[in-house]
Amino acid sequence: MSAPRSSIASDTPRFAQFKLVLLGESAVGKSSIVHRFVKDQFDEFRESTIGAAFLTQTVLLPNNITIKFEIWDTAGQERYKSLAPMYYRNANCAIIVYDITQESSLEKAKQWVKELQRQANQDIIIALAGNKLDLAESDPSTRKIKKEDAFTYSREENLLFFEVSAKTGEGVKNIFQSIAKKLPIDDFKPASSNANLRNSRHNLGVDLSRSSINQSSCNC
Amino acid sequence: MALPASNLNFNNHPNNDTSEEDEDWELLLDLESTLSRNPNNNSIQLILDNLEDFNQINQNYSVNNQSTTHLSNLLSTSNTNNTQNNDSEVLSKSDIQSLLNINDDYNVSLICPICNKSLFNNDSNAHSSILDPNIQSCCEKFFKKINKISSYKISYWFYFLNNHYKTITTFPNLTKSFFYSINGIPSQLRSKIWGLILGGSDKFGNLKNKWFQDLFNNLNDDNSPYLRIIINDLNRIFPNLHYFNNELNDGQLNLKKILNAYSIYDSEIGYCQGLPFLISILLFHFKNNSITFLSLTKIFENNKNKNFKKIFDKKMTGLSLWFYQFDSIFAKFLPDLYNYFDLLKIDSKIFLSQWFLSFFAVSCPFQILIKLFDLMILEGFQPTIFKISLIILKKNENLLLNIDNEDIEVIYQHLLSENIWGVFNNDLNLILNDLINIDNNLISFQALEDLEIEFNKKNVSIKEENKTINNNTNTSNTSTSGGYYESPFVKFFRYGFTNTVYNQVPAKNQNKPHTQSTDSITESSVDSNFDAYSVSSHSSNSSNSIKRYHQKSVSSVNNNNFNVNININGKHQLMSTLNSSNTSIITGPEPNNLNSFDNSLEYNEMFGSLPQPNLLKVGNNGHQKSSSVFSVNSSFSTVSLNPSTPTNFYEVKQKMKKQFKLKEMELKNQIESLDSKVQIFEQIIHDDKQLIKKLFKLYLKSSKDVDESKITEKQRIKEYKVLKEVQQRIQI
Repeated sequence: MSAPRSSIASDTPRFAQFKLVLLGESAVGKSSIVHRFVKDQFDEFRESTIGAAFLTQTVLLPNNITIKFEIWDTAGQERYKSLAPMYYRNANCAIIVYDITQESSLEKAKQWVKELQRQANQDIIIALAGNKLDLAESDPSTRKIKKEDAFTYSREENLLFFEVSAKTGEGVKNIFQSIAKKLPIDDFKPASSNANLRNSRHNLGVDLSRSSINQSSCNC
Repeated sequence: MALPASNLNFNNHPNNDTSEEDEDWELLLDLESTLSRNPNNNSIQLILDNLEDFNQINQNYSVNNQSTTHLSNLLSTSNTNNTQNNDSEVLSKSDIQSLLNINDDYNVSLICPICNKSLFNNDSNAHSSILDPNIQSCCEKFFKKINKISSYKISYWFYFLNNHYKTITTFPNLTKSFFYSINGIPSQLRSKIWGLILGGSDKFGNLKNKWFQDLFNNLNDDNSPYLRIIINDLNRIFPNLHYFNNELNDGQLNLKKILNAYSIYDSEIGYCQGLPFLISILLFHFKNNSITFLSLTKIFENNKNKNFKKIFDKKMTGLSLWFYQFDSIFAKFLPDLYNYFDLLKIDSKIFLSQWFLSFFAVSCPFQILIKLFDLMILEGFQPTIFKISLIILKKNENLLLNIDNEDIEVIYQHLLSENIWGVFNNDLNLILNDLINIDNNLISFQALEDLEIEFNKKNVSIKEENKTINNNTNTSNTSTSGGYYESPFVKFFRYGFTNTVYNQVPAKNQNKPHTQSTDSITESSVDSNFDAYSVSSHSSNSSNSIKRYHQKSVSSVNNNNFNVNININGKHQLMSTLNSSNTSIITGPEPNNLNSFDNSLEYNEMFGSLPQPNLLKVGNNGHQKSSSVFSVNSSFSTVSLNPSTPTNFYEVKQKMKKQFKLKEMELKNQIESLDSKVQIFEQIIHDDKQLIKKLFKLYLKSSKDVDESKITEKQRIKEYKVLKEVQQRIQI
């Protein structure tokens, strides 16, 4: 590798991997945010998450820094709460999602913040994200949670704060970028020394698409 | 293909033109005996076990003595079909033939056996039997062929629909071969077959218990507390299916009604995400709310499925048992992969929770899912879900073993995605073949039950272990002395099996002797409403256990909620007492009773620690506690103590008594002070009344005086003052 290794020069390619967990009330759009971020897609109807889903995505920061997020997208229903520690254990960062058109969802989000502050990693970075901005923009009367209220709360609790729309994609990337910037840069290793990046491309050689039911032709 | 069912070559069989039904029966018996010579024939046990329970019949029905059964017998016996009016009526073969000719959206499950492609683009095309214009010749041929079903297949389903119980028990191997082969179940008959096995509908596809219709309607008069979340989820169930993909379609409307009704009907479960996958698949086939609802209740009522229900309840109490059972079977079935996961510290719960709670619906292609549901319904949900999980792991074993050690997340990602089905290359035959070849002894109901007992025992021994650790290291257990309490589940995930995990002992195991405890002392009888304290002593050589059922002594405490609160208050106190003497305490509410105080307590407090039903069991002295203890509305506390300080228990008890008395005194004082206040107020009111009477008399007198116009100015002023006083008094 031609990059200078003596000191961490600004253009040395560096790589780090972080565990991120999404939490929040049921049907606030956690999975949709993840899918917008990872695949840049949006499905109006998405099957509810059972247990959890797992996806990865890399973010490129200036100065040749690559961050790979291991994203744990959890189920939102109250009774799945007992499964959550399994997913937020050792998480470096969390996105707590609420629905700006659903008043109860911010309360639920606050509970999650409390739980994470008490039981997750000490230095976990928490972002609060109000989803479904598109609904409030097309019809302001649907908005049930004022931006200022959520913002004030996030200030008090020292959280990152965003209002996003997974449907239009507005602000979604920004959450991940902002989190990436806040992550501890000291942990970053030169990319050449870390095999993870290569491995992460490791595809199991199987790619079965869910759309098999829709396959029309057969290849016999 | 190596499917044992292929021993049966349906097409080469001499076509049986005879209309004699007895001959058909003989023919099926011949086939059955051919199949039963197959080395795999022990694997019919699951079907029979499951069937027996579904029908709640305890007959020892011998499969081998059936050779002389005739159709007349078959059709006259109505021992299992409790259809009220329809017993005498019989579906004829032509009925079945015409049923088979109906084209409907069950076609969605049809798969070409040659190229393994689904025949229809989507369920709406399947509904109208519109084949894809680009369809391959093999698929087209196949579609024509399945519309002409060979005659003895018809015979089989003819017998099945008329008396499924007898048909299955007489031809278990044949049944298995039908259920385990692609398109073995005519898709047009599937809803009737499911309905019969589950007990939701009769052979004509009508609701089996008519009054359920009314029950269903009545339940739907109310709105469930879960309605908001149910509505949120409606468009998130199989959004690819036409039937469910629009809020105006029947699918979503009916699903809403069923989910609403069921969440009211069953307060233990209420509504659990994951369950709609089961319900919607049933609904998709039954196309009838009441039948779906009845079938669902029957599934959960089935004793064999008792742990199935528990994985959906409010605290998902059954899930940790399932994980334990599965892990044990997994370790036996695929030791290499199991050890590999162990080495990488891969937590199987992470993917198993998705598989178990969603019936694989999250990742499995729909037409495969339907076939898997055939098997779940035939052989029971838990064993089949376990079997499917095992073959997924087995098929993916090579891939998983060859992943770089550091790439744990690739393994998780693979196992949580639809990629797990990729190794089957969408080939249903491969899946079915693997499923039928699993040694069913591994996952028989008996094996699962044994593991359940083991699981419960293990909890006890782990608890003792914890106590020993506490004694040795002189540190207190985080779970009991921490500032907050965790649910058993949180603990389970946090510490795995190093902490105690609650699981209920099945009632029928109550009588089996406890392995460890040799000496037991029992005191007092068990009341239906009781507090139980269990003192289990432990030393290096022997273990004694003292069980004590403490009949509730505080007569004033009758309310359950109040009772629980006291338990928890008591726990705080117990902990402060006992931590100093190196003991661990396990305290908690009785799990069956969670619903009743769900609202009254904080989540964490409720599961502060875990109850151990095992400890409640009385040892060898024959004084057995009745199993009904687990069903009564009660709560209990369990206290484990060091044998060297057995008096601690009594100290604790004394302290608690003191605490109660103090509280009682406090309350009495309060009541007294309130009483005295009441008296004062009554006195004031009395005085006021007297005054008003006086004044009123005075007023009457004075008004007389006015009439007589004999009042002086002085009198007027006096009267005015008096009236003023009255007004003020009244205002006060």
